Amino acid sequence: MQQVRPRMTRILCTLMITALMVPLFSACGSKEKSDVEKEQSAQPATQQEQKVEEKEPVTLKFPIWSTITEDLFNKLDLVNEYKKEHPNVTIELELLKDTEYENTMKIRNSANELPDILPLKSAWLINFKDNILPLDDLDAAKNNMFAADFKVNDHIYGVPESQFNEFVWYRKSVFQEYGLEIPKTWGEFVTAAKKIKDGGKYIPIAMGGKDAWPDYPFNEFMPSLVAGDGDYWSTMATIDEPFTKGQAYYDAYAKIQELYDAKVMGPDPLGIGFDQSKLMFASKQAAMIGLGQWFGSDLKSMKDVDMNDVGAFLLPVRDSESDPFNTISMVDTFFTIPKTSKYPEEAKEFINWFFSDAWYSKYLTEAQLQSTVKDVKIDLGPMFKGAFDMSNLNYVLYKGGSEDYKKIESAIKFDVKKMGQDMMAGKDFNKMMQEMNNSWKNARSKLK
Amino acid sequence: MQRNILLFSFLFVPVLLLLMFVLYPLFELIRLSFTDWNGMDAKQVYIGFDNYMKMFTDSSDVWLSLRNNGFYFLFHLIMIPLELAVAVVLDSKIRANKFFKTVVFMPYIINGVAISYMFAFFYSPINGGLNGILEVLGLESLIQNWLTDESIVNLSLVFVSIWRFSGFHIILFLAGLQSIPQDQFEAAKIDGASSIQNFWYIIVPGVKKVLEVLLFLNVVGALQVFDIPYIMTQGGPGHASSTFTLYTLETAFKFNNFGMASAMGITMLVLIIVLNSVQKRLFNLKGVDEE
Repeated sequence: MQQVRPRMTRILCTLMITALMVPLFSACGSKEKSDVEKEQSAQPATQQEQKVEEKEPVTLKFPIWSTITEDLFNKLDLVNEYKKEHPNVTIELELLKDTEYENTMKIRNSANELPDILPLKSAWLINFKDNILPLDDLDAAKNNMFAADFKVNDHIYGVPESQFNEFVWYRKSVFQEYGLEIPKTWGEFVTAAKKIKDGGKYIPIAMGGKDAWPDYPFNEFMPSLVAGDGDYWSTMATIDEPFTKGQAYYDAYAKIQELYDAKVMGPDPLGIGFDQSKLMFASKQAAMIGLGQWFGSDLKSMKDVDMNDVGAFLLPVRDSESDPFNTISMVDTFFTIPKTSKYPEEAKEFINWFFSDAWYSKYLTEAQLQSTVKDVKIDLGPMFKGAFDMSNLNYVLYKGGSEDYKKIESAIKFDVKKMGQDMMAGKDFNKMMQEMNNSWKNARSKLK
Repeated sequence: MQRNILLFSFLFVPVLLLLMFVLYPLFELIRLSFTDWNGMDAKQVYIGFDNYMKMFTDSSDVWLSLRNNGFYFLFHLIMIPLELAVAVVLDSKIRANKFFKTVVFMPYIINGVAISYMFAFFYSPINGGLNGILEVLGLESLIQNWLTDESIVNLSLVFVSIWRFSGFHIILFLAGLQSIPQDQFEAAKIDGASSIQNFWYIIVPGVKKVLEVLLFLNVVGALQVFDIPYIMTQGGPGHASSTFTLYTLETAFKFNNFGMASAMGITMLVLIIVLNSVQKRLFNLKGVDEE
């Protein structure tokens, strides 16, 4: 009994001490709290509002496929410019190799790891349509002149960043040396190239045929130009034998073959890649190069290029001056938002900002590209002076092709750029067209 | 019991990794090869053996690619006796043989991408090394478009492959040669054997194991060759230098036909197994110990 009593005393003491400590601590707590409350009430109202508005930090992943774009974004400080208005948002740029871009995105898609803003080319919109969000209600989409032209299943999925034309870039001094004028028909264009070749001093047209893609102004765009139909791939999907004489595809390719056969692209156009062909033009070894408007800023960034000696004209594909002068109008880099993005609202906000006056005009002026936004005009500078002064000028808006076209393309592995390589290598043109007709017809018959 | 627990715990992780990263992807690949999956859609329709049928009947470029693989296989096969001969020379007591061994092995340790770029410049029609050398030697008539002439592009690429891998093969042969007991050579010397007899009756059986490995590597390497044609020609001009792997990748990524590409992947696996067993039977490859 004597042992139990002290133990009981200890327990009671402990309980009492605890009971006393609780209010003590709680009083301290309430004092601290009241201090904070006092401090808060002493703060100005604006600061309090700021605290309420503070948002969680967000990182938007934004891949790009062009070093030219990366240089421009860095020069104009895109990341910090956006941060000024949206302090909680960090734009994380990632440069990917242009030739691997689509593959990389397909692989990331299979792992549900697409970025928050996904730039796509028009032809890829169909491929990714099930994995990206419709943007019909986005302000940037509503203000865009071309977004609705590239609807898939009646929805706008991407907002195109820029519009540009395809040019033949030329050396003014070489044209002066040979007394050449800007060609207005296909015949004049081939003749001008032949005249430069005969001079033996310059390669008439630089072509990086080894990379296949640099033949796109000819092999990819000319069927549309001859047809005067920017959606010619979709039209082709409705024809059984588009590789027959009299069809736009055949006629365009016959013209291209005439150019390749004239051997005006140097001793071995298939042996050099794009970088080498670009350098050949920059160092005035070559008189012309066929590339899009984007090449202007690329050229400017190169050292020792006399930009006053560089001019640009639209590739003439017509047979006579009385025909309409069709020129490709290319709409590129469609900003889309993947369904897997964790921050779709922030991504939408970024796209709206990108197309706002504050950034968009500044960016496009630097990039020397044309606007896709209504009421925004961009000064393209002196390089394109006179390039558009052409009678009967007709802009052909290039599109990527319908789902049926994609099915045929996939089934027969239709690759116009590889065909261009084959043509440069001297493959039998008519045999090639005949084989293509057979494969095309066969694939069409299997369309579901 | 304790032994079983120990075995289980040691084997659990490797077996799990094997199941996850080898067997599961393989079964998934087989499954995909029977579908029409385009790599993007959630929908995958089972189409039986259609992909396998189409691969060999509807596409002439598959056969062209396989023919190009054949070039790599054949020329590497022809090089094997030569590589063995070089290994025998390097194994003898020649002066500075360590230096020569290093030189021979060097190409193998250089990055394949770097080698491809290096040779792309070497073959280049503008300021290219090879045409430059021919010009200096007064052999202008031999100047070619090495990577764009369809008739020679594959030979140009095969040469790069041989340049890269021969050294590795020689080093493997050297390892085989050094494993042959010296007393065999001494006994042969007492019996009065000639160098050719030494080569045929001691060296060749002695390196049979290495030969077996090399022939297997040759089949695998020739069918899977990728980096050299991809970087130097991208399979071009047209599909002239495309290989089976390049064509498979093109089918999957460029033309969104992952089902067909999976079928091509499985076909390659089968081809490797078949070719290797045929080769083994043909050359009667059994190591000395197995006979």
